[in-house]
Amino acid sequence: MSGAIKESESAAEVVAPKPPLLRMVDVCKRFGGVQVLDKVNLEIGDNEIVGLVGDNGAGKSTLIKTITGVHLPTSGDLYYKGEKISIHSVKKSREMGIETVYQERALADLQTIWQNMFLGREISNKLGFLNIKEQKRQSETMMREHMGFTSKAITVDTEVEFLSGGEKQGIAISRALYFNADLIILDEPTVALSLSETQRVQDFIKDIKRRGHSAIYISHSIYLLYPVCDRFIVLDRGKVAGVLYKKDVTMDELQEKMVNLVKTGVLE
Amino acid sequence: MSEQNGQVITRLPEPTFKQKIARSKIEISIGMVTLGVFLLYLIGAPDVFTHYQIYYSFMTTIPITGILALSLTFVITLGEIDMSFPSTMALGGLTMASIFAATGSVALGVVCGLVVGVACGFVNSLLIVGFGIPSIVGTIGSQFFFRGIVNVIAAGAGISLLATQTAKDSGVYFALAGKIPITESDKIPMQFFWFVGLGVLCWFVFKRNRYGVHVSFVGDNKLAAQMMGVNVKRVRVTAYVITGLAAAFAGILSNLEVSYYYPSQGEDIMLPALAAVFIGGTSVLGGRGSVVGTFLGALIMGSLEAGIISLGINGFWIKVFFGLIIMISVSVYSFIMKRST
Repeated sequence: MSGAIKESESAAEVVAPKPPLLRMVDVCKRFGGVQVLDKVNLEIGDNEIVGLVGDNGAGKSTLIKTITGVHLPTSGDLYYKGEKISIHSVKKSREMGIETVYQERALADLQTIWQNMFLGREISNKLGFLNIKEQKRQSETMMREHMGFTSKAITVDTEVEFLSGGEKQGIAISRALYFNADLIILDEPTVALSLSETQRVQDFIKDIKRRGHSAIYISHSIYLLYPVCDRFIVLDRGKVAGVLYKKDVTMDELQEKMVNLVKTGVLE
Repeated sequence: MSEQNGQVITRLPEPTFKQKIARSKIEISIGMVTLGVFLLYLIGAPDVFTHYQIYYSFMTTIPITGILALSLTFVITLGEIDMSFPSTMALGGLTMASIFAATGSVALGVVCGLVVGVACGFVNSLLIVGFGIPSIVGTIGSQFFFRGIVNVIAAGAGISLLATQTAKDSGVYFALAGKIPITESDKIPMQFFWFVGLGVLCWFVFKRNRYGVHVSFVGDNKLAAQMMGVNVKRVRVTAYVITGLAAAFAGILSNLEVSYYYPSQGEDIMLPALAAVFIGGTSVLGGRGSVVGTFLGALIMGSLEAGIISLGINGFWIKVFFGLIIMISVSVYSFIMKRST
């Protein structure tokens, strides 16, 4: 499948090269005297799940916050679908189709599922009055068909606090999928989840691929990243230490490389 | 939108009767308490409570507490509080009375009073949203400050709205505090219609409008709201402006009802208005509020004093009853909320 896509891409390249979904060129980020990102160059392709790996302090968080518009790069450029991003903000990146699923779960516990699904993009008229029926109906679709909720006890009117951690992340991911985010950034989405809940989130991530979207998946665990990712970008002390394709490396080799990187500072 | 994605639209299942009840448990509880309290009045003092006069009296007094409480529902659902509204009320009332005394125009007085109320809301916003001061601290400060300005300007003197020219001839007076005759002897004061109308408006904004939904979200999880693109600062500023506007309006209504401005206006309204919000089921922790609850809470808080006196109980007992009602109702909410989690 991925081979077929690659072939058609390289064939198209001759006529008109299709730009990658996201391209970062020489992106630097400095906080005071600390160089957190040092000339980062990377690309995220269409329908590609990329694992972003690196030890604590490698700059993973800063990198994704630069993509989502939380931080502005000190220097360097970002291109999205081939176009240079000039003014960047959280709001703008969402409008362009970049969604983030945070480890701290961007859901409000006391509010209902449908309210959480539509937070920040409610269906409403000019005066802000909501079309609640439509929002509930679409939430129902999302729950039953994307997330596989079958329980009758949980409805769109259920408050989020009654859901398990995995189900909550499921809502966050489904929300991004439903609103057609092209690039979904998953920042340690399984931290604080049980084993079975983690597996559910893994299934949601496979769904991102199946539906033709792209994702950047950040996790400390190679065992979580390896099964769902197509490619791995290794970040070390603010620099891209290397890019590895899944077909070129086994899970154990990747794990070993990461450990060696910490020891030697070189990606073998 | 779902058709664009090529997805099947699911039909929404009708909620069961049980689910409907569970969703409105706060409103149902406070509704039953209100009914109970008024039944108690009726049984204990049938002479008073089978005659229209007491209800007329309620319809002039309760709207003032009620309108304040309705506006406070937003700021409290945000998980914040406004302690300055009694002083804002006095400042708005003073502005209205002074402008009327100087120009003879009720309309101009009302507009200026409301503008001052909005300005007070912005002062609070500057402290709390702008400088990041906790709301209870910031509004205790502004509460003294606004009251201080009232003391300096009024210098302890009241202002009559009937002195050289009467406010009662104005159309604005009629619209705000006029009396609508319903039978030969009985009338309904306009304040009552304002209370009900604003109650309905608040309910729609709270439950059916983007703003109300955002208030609940910000009160529940400010960070989540921010990450999902809600303009948290604007939501918070708007809440303080709503309270300021409502406080000034309450001051104006109070002026017009008695045709006199008392410089002590609002001094004993703080706790009953806040209590109305809390016994209505709005959580001081934020994220959960009820406009219906506040409306009913205001009916209880606003009727308790007259009710207890009519029951023939010594007036010294009033605060005991206030305390009991508040303590029991918030304990009941704590219980039903815990049981549902």
